Amino acid sequence: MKPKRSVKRMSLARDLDKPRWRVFIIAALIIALFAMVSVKALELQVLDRERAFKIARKQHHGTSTLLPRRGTIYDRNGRELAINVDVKSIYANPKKVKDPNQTAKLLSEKLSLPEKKIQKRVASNKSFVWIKRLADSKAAEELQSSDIEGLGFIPEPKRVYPNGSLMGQVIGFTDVDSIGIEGIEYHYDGLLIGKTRKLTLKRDARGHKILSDLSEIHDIDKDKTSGQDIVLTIDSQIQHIVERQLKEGIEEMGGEKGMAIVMKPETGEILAMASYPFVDPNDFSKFPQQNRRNLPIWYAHEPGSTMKVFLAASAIEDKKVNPNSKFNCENGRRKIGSAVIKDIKPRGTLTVTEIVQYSSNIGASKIGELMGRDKYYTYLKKFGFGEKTGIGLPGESRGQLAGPRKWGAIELATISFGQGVSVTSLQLVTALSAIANGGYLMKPYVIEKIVDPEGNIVEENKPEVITRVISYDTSHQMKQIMQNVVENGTGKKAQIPGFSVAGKTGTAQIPDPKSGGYHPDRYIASFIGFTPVEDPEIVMAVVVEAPRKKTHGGSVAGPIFKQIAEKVLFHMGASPNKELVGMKVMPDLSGMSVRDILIWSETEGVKVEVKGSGYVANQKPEPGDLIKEGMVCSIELKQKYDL
Amino acid sequence: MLKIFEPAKGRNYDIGVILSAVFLTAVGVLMVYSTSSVYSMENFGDPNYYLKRHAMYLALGLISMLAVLSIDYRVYRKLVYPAYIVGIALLVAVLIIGKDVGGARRWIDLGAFSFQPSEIAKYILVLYLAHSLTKKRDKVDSFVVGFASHIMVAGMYVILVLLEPDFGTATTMIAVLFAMMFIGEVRIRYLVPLGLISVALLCLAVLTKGYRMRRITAYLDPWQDPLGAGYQSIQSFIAFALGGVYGTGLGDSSQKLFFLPQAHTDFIFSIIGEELGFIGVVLVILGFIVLLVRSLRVSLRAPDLFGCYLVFGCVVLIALQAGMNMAVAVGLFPTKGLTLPFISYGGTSLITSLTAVGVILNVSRSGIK
Repeated sequence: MKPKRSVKRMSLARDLDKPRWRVFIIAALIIALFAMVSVKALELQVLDRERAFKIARKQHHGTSTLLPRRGTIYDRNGRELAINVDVKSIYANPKKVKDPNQTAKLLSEKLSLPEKKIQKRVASNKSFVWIKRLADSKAAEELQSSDIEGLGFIPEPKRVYPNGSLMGQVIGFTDVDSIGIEGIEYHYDGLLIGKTRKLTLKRDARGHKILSDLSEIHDIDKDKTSGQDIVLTIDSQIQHIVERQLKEGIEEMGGEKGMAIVMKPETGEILAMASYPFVDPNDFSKFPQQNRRNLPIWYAHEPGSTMKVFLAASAIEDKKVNPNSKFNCENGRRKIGSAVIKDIKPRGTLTVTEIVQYSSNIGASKIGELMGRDKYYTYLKKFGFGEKTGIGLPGESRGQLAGPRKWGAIELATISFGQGVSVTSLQLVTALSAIANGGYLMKPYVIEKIVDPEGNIVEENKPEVITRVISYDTSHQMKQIMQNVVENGTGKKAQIPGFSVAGKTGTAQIPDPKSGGYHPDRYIASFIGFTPVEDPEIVMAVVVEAPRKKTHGGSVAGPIFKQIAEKVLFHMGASPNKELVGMKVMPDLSGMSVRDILIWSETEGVKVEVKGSGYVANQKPEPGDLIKEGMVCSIELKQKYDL
Repeated sequence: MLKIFEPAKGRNYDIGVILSAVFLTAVGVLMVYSTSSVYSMENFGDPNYYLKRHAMYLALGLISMLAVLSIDYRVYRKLVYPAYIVGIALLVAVLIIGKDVGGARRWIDLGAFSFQPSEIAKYILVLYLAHSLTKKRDKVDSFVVGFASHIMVAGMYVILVLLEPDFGTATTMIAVLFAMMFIGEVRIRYLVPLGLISVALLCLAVLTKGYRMRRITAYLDPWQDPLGAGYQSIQSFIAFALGGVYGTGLGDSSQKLFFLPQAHTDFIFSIIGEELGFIGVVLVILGFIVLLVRSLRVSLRAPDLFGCYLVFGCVVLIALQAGMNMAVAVGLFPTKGLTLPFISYGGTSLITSLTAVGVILNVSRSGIK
């Protein structure tokens, strides 16, 4: 007998020896299986959810989900910019449809859909098919009243933009599944979209989906599925003013496109942001792709002479110059290496103030040389050029600002007067705000707050100082230099009666990617400025591309700036200088709201007679006329304020 | 009367086994309700239809558990051969009078409820093997007595189950047979060829049945054909992904509504993943691991080898089936119709699982005689 056997028998008798290690092996194998399951679950649930989600999304946006109830987008005064309107979607239960051919014919006629497609759906063996989602309301009503068996109607939220094209590129739009694909709708889609709204479909005995109970759908608790609301810093009425004046100005000058942006200098809040040509998000597919860009944040262009403002501010802050430092401007021609820099009008010796006033390129190049490339570059960076501002909108450009190691003598000169560098309008107003507000670079923002359906504030943006760029003294000196530009220099057309204005014009050539140089006759005309100078309410940049009638920034963008600023100041209730109040000139009220008119009439002591509702369409007396004692101004308002 | 439930001196009911079984059963009740209410509303006009039936099976399971607890487990050995015959009879009967569902006869319909003979047969097999391996312990090294006889006896069951066909249960039976012969110290040199032959036969079975092949290819790359054979796998993946770490919350699954068929039976684990999240998944897995580890402890401390083998067989059957069901749900194994013990809706499965727990507890409280 082998010894092994005897051990086994002994163990049986005393029952001490169990197959311990064999049990452990099996246990280990099973636990290993559990571990593998855990790891796979971890991968599916935590590490690689995306792939499954893509498929899930498709499925959930198929027949069994209703369109999401997206959050509302408001302007700073609570005016609705993007809302939901319940529109009927039409479905059919093909099993209950008695005469598929007849029904399909009727449906295709009423809804102008291809008959074959409808017929295929109506004759299918399913028990739920969509016929037309978000159908035309008149057609849906007619169909509903004709009471065809097998047809059903469910209200679904349709995204509507009540102001039409107003800041279409900023708000963006959604696709057929109500998923944001541009602008704020895209960038904040996760917050706006809300919860998946399931259509209560069940399976019948054969596994087909059927609609269980329509009342359940009506009962869907709006608060539970709604997305979060977004409140913007934008004032839709200022936006109206900006868009109207921008369009008018660009059309007058025969320009191709243009943009304007208005910021509150102390806070960095964006009050308006416009890109022309406009896009109506209600019908975005009709507008060409290139018009859908939010130009003030996306379009980086050569700034041209507006850059001299930041050059001068840097040089004064760096104590290299003061406003009265003199430079020899070489009578309009200066050779740097192989290149020649020219001024439009030849001049001799100019002070820094005059260099900005007359926009002398030669003077600017000399200030730049005095500072040196490293210092100048450091200041430009501090003003925020070459960096995204982080405004919280999609598609922001950083512009182009090469490092100082790549600057030769020529680059230093051209960057001093705004060539060989590109900036966005948003960067320009942000940097200019630092000059206007006493030296603080503010982080620009366009989202004021995000509110959940119960009304709780989920997130709120507060003014944020990024850095202090220049001192109060430098800011004060720059204000005077820029005010001088508007009063005596290239920016005279931006003057506003009763208000002090500071600004700078810019005229840049447009680079031609084909030749590698510049287009001979295409310019970017711009104006940046703020008003009133002492305590600025608004900072603004206006840019027009390729104007045909005139090309200079002061002549093209200056008047647009003036038109916008004048009305915006009025809307904000800013009071003009005293000597003008006595004269009581009738302002241009078009586009103003009743509230604006009443505040104005009260503070000015002017009697008004208001007819209609909405926005000012006609006024008497005409803008610019004197208001006589005891005169009653008659003002007519219309509901749809036509741009 | 309650004296029969009293533990022997120095012995006690294993608290870990009890707690894990209670936890898993409770999860089962919750999930069956959550997954089946819409479906039962549709089919029976009562959202609680399946819940009620599940509760009834639970009661039956508890009665059965108490019944096996009331008899000393060593007495079971007297029932081995009659039980084996009954098993054969049931497995033959189901092939003749079984309900034909989708080409398979797995259920015997008794009017008010139906049951699955293969679920019972699995445990009869375990009982038989525990008895036989103990009895033939002296000759376990021999090819005929230690090895071939068990293969023959178990093979009868496996073949009958394959005829239904119920591929999943057959696989489980073979795995348990293998595990029990392994701890019964049948010679490894016989077991290894057996393992290889079994794998080869399983592959053959797959290749000869088109639907199995499709399931396999779908398993290898379910995303290739998301609306075809990979459908269930994809839906299951989506359910897991939707759940994330914390889950969508009990009752909030959207997959169970339309997209995942058999949500309350074979794919209940996916809905756990969706509603209770990764946390829920880990908790359920831990529940099974606790049950496994504590039961194996009971097995190794059993008063005799029969008790040791019996407890081992019962718990391996439960844990293995749970592991395979979960592995299918997460896509590690190809789809096969296996329930998740304690949790899935399915009367026979719940009753037999609870009975098995009764057997384990019985051994844990029994002393040496």
